[in-house]
Amino acid sequence: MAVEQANLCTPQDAAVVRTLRVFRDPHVDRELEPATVLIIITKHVMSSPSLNFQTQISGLILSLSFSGQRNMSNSVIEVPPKGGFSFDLCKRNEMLAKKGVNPPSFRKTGTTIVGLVFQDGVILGADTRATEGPIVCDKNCEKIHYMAPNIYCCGAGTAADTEAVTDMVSSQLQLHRYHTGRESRVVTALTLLKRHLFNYQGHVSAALVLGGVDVTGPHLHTIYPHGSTDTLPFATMGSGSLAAMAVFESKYKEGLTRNEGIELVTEAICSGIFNDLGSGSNVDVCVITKGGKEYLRNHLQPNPRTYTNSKGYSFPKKTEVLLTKIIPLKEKVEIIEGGDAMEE
Amino acid sequence: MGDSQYSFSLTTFSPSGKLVQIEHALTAVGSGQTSLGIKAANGVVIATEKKLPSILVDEASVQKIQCLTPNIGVVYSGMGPDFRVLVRKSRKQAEQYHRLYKEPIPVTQLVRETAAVMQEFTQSGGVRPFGVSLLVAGYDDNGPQLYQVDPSGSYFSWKASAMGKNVSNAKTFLEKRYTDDMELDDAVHTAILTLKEGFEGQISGKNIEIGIIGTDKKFRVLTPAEIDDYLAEVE
Repeated sequence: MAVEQANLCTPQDAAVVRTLRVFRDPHVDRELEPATVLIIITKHVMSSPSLNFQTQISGLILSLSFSGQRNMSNSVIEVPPKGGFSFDLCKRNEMLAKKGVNPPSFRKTGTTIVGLVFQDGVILGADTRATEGPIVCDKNCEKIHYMAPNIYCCGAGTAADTEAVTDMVSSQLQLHRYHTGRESRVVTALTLLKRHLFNYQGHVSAALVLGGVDVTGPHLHTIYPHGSTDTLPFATMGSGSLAAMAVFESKYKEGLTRNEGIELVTEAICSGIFNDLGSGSNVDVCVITKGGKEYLRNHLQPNPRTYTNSKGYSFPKKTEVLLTKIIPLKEKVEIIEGGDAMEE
Repeated sequence: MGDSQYSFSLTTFSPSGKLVQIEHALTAVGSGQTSLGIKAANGVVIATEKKLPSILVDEASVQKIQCLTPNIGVVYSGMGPDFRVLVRKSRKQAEQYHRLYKEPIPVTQLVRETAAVMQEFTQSGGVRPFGVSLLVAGYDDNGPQLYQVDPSGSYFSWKASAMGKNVSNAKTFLEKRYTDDMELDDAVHTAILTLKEGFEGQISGKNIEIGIIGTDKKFRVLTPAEIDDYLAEVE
């Protein structure tokens, strides 16, 4: 392999080359790819802040050359396959992970969503904070999604994923209702959602709490991003799920009345709002019974904006306004009277 | 005529410039049960005969008027199975439109897409045209609308129209009776009278089907009891 011919100017370069030699896995019978080498080198550069090292390393990269002499049959330059997913780099990733170079981890989005079964039906609850990493991007978003007139679904995880998946299944349920002429069942929604999520092997990052009342009674389910489901009398999901579950585990009992149920759900969500950084703002509640549904948007607002200046805020003007009337310096357009320009 | 040589293949024009298969499809429609539609000032009504092949058939299970979206309904004349296929496709298209644009599909759009499906089957290999003509009734932002879609894929907006057996008598009757400022109830009465014209036997709530849509923009099929009430008013 051509890395032997590299310009070894400093002892740090030698360290990199040693690492590269170690990484050449005897089990993988192909040349080390440029991408892999770059990752390894970058890791070394990141761990060593001195500028000198970096300039030497750039020299090293430039002098690397991959000779195609040895194996002409396996060309190093890869033509992307015609279609479908190419799993070639998965083996490389596995090998790197074994040696300690891990891919960057995904950011977990914060939410507290809960559901419980009470004597007449199901109550769902959610907080209203949407986060982009450490920033709150929406202080009052809607996490309880419509699936059918008698079925609602709370979503945690990537907001785009939860919205797209619930929208899609809601559409499918509507078509199903037209074809059968009957009210949708919660298990139908459950099966459609879990099949979709399983097909995408967990890449659709949507953790859902599905609840509704149909001809067979009230139902509450949780659905995990990989496609597994649970049927429970009370459930919580999201980063605030532990805080909310603590409340449920201590106070839940069967046969709750509507008001008791709403109070318990609100308490659980508040516990998530105050104790979890990823959840916050207001509490949304949705009560579903045989007779219909009640969507209590912003049922509780425990985080109002206080201490606003009643006089308002005045910002000093920084830009001078030079003139209020704009006089053109010269007329740009000359109007030619008569004549038909389009004659020819 | 030389037409008979070209009548078997759908995708070949005859020397007179017609696609004979479509003519035959229209004949199939013309021998189907009468159906009609009337557009009133504040709604649309569509109606059809529901003559069952035998008294043993469970007439509650037969539904000739179908709902495509909450504000669009459809009735047909011709072959029932072809109608079912079209209804299924139209519902799916309406739902896809709603998913993409988050707005209920306008009546003209749905009619256009259904007509496109019917036209596809007149220009593909190995398929035959649909043996149905549809009457699509809907109420959207442009007010009440009534469209007729033919097996060829052409569609027209009508103030009042009829299809199937007895179509000429029905249309003449409608021409005489139709006024622009009709109310929905008057339109229902007119529809019943028109159906009665060519009806063999005793008309009742069990052997006709009526669907209406009013300013509430909700399409619904009347129950036999409601139809009987209207019938009593007419007599």
